[in-house]
Amino acid sequence: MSQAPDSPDLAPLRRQDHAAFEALVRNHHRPMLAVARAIVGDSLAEEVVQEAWVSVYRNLPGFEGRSSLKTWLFSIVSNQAKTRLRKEKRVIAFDDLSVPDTGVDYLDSGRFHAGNGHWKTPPPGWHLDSPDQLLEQSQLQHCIDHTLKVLPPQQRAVFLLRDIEQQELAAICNILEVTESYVRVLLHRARLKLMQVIDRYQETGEC
Amino acid sequence: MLKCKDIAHEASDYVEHHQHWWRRLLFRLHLFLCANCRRFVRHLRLTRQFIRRRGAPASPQEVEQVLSQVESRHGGSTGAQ
Ligand SMILES: [Zn+2]
Repeated sequence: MSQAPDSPDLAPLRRQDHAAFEALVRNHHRPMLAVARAIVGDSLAEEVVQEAWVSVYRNLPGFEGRSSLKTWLFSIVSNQAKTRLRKEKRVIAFDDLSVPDTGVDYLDSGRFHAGNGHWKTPPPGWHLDSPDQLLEQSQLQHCIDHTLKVLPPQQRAVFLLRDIEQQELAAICNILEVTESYVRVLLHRARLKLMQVIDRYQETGEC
Repeated sequence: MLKCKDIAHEASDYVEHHQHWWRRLLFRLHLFLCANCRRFVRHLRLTRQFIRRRGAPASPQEVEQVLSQVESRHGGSTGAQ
């Protein structure tokens, strides 16, 4: 699995170097797509993000680096998506919180004793308990990919932006036009879902 | 005194230092006394580190699709080889 990239060298990107651009796409396409999906929904997201990449490519020579490259990429796709949404005059209502959250049973009250709030089912122990050990498990990678795919759109976008792209909460609020408290709720839910995927994997070796 | 249930709900705010200092203190006191919650918070941190390191790279097909779209819009190949 490839490393999450930090800050790539800007010079080759400004020259629109093929390999550098390809790496940029590989490393940021998924989160860009997640942003588009969270704003315009599944059916238009693909088109919006393709459009965004064309615009990124065209504007790279003039990128001055006043914001970070990632922030710039996300603002392009976010603006593209918002413009598209206005054009379509459609309101896409996302209400991730109303989606029944099966699989976040760390937040279920059934997991705790009603009276004292102690764990009724405590978190299980992990025999693989370092990032290196987890990274070696290819079946686990597959399970994580699958889970990311089925997260509700806003949850997925918030999670990728924060935990993979390391964007500030305030930046995420701007990109997705949501409040910070909402971002924090979505983020926590997404993390716990992934944690449970790891719980299950440690126990059964499967998703 | 916080309950394990509170810890489960607020653990992200704790690991990202988004709590009021007083709440954080209560949180730490609970962790000091509760091995289950220490494990919970440790697993949450580990999950983040692991996911951060693995990233979310696009598939070769996705990359190819973007590149060909960009190329077709620019009437040539992308940049110098
Ligand atoms: Zn506890």
